[in-house]
Formats: sequence, C-alpha cells, structure tokens
Amino acid sequence: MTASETDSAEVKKLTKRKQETGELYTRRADAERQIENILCLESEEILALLKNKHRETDNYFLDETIVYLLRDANIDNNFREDLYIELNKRLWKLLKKFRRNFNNQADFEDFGQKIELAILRKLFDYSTNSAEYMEVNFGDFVIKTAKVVWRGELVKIIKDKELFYSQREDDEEDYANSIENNIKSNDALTDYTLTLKEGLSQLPPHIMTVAELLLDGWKIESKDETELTISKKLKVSSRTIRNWLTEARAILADYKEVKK
Amino acid sequence: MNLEEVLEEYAAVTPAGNDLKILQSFSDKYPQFADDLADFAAARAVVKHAPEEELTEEEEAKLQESGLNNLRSVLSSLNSPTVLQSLVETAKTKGLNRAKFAAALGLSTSLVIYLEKRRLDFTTIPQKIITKLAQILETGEETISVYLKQSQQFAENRSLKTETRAEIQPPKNFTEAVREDQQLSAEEKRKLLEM
Repeated sequence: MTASETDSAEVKKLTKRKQETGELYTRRADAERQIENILCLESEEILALLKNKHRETDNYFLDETIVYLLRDANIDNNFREDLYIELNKRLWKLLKKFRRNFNNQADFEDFGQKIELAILRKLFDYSTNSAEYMEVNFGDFVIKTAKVVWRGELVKIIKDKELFYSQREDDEEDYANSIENNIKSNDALTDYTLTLKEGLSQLPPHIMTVAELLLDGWKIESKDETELTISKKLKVSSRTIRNWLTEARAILADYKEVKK
Repeated sequence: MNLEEVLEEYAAVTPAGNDLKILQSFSDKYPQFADDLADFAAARAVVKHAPEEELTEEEEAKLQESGLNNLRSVLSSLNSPTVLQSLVETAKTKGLNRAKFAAALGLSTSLVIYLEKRRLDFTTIPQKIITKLAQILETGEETISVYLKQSQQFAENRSLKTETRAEIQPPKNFTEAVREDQQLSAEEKRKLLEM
C-alpha cells in the first residue's frame, strides 16, 4: 500500500490560523515538499528512508512528515506503529536535553511519560485542529506541550553546594561590553562562540545552560530592568555567571589543547 | 488566549528561533504568562544549542515497548466513547480548581456543584453553558450532554425503585437555581437568566 492510497494524493492543507494576524499556518517548504514526494511511495520505502539518521542530509525524514503520516486516520496499523516508534525516539532524544534539570532518573522519566501521553492524545485528536502546529514545527510543539503539561520550570539551575562562589569585592570589571554579553545569535560565529559551541558538551550542566542561552543571543545582564537576561531567567547573580564563564574559558582552553 | 495559545503564537511568529524583542512584546502583552514565556524561550535555546544526545540500545528497547503500549492505549481510548466521570475533577486536570472553574464558566461554585451532581434539569440548562463546559474541558458538547443527562435518568430510575428515600430530589430548574443563588451578583444573575 502506498502512503497516497490511504487518502488523497494531495497534501492536506492546514486549517488553523494565527490568532493575531488571522493568517493560516503553513508548513516549512522542506516539509511540504517532502510530504508531496513521499505520498506516492510504498510504506516499505518510507520505512527504509526512516533509517537515515543524519539530520543534515537532504533526504532525512523530517519530524513533521512523520506527524503528517501519523495523523492520517486510514493508515495501516503496523505502519502507524513503525512510524510512531521513530517519532517517539526523536521525542525522547529532545527531552533528554532537559535531563540535567532533574535530580534523578525516575523524576525525568515521569516528566517524559507525561509529555509523551499528552503529545499522543493531541496527535490523534481529530475533533479539533489544535495539533496542527505539530506539522509546522514538531520541536516547538513538544516544548510548548512540556511547558503546559509539566508546569514546573524547564530551564533552571539546580542549586548545589559546589556551585557556590564567594563574591569578590574587588571585582570592578565592567562586563556590560564583554564578549559574552554581546553575542548575537545571528552574528557570524566568532572564534569564541565557535569554541563555545564545539566545547559545549565539556561544560558542567549549569555552565552549559548559560552557554546555550549566550549562543541564543541572550545577555548576561542589562541596565534596562525590563529586559530578559540570563541572570534574571536563572535567578543567579551576574557576578556568579561571570565566575562560571571564567571557569568555562579554562575548560574550553584545555579542551582546545587536547584537540590539537 | 490561554498559556498554550500564547506560547504557540510566539513560536509561530518566530519560526527561526527566539527573537528577544518579540518575546518582550509578548511578555508586555501577556504579563500573567511572562515567566512561562521566558522559560519556553530558554527551553527553545537549550533544544537548539545543546549537543544531540543519542539513546542507548537499552533506552531504545525500553522506549519501543513503552511507546507501543502508550500508542495502543491512547488509540483504544479514542475508539471508545469518552465518558466523563466528573466535571470538577476533569477541570482540575486543566489546572482549574473549583473556584477558577466556576469563574471561567461565569457561574457560582454552588451552581457548579449542581452541575457536578446533575441536580439541574438538563432541558433548562442553556446551550451556551454546555458549549463553555466543552471548551474549558476540551471535550465535545455531546460528552458534556451525556454526563448531564445520564444522571438525570439514573436519578429517575433510582427514585422509581426507592420512593421512600428522602435524599432523592427532583432536578432543579436552571433559572430557579440561579435566582436562589447566594453567591452571584444581580448583574451576573441577569446575564445568566438572559442566556
């Protein structure tokens, strides 16, 4: 059976609209193209494509394409199960990025299980179009669902004795203009950000979180009290963050040396 | 807009990733969700930049088994008609305690209890209340109607068999219940009676 035999060979349009502008949601062009292309394939051919694990390659099977196929109520049951196993693996790989915010594995699994069930219920809810954003951006849909279902903070610093840094009274350095406070997410990657990105996995969890926010364009601190900063989000003083970044620089320098 | 809609809207207008200026404008517009928006944006940053983590073989095997169980269980529950056990308990799963649930419906907590215990004559309940209940509890109007009607039949059946039981009372008229309510203001009552 081909995927197209399950329904019309035409890609189904999304019906949900953005609340503010009234515009219809649209899938990304790559997802739309891929869905068009796979509708004439046999389910075995689709399952063969799922074996490609390299996200950066052209024929990588997109999450949104799997969602599209799964939301077809008429697909063969075994095919649905194979597709879901793959989507579920991707879901948990994404959720693993939050593992560091949980004190133990059991709490993390409880979190993951809640999110998985919420996603599943939305995925097969044909009575409303509330799940359509899943076909626009599966990753964002998962994060949004996690935020709503879990209710607790997804990104936080787990306070630990080892994270205590005494405040240096003589620290007068102005960091407002420092490299770390001025990384823009869209800037060409500087040596510093490149090193930070490459060496991310070498950093301890709390510093890794700071580094991820820096890479995303967040400032450590701001003179504008209303501006969202890393310090505000993580409820950690900017001085502590700067101390962590000093530590990060040392770790990254060692990492670079080892790589040479 | 509720939290879910606000987060989705922010994601939809920033498809390439966070835009802290747009985030700020959303926080200004929805101050009640400012912390949630900040956490959502931070979570997006983590997902975008954190190194990809592979699953171990053991994790994959475990996920395959639990995932299929979850899939089958959700699909089978979809195939059987949804039966609500309790309006109030279902509202709790949506983050609404009794008071918030009543406020969202524009009712008093005592009227919510009338609905919960199916003490109101179904035919007198305004359709708008049923529609609101379905929206808030994210279910179909039919499911709500079944809940509210079911017990009426149940109560009628019971009253036939146990005529002597003093606690079984005939269902109350919605209008009458609103008029007798001690919690609602005159304005709130007027709005409900006009439905």
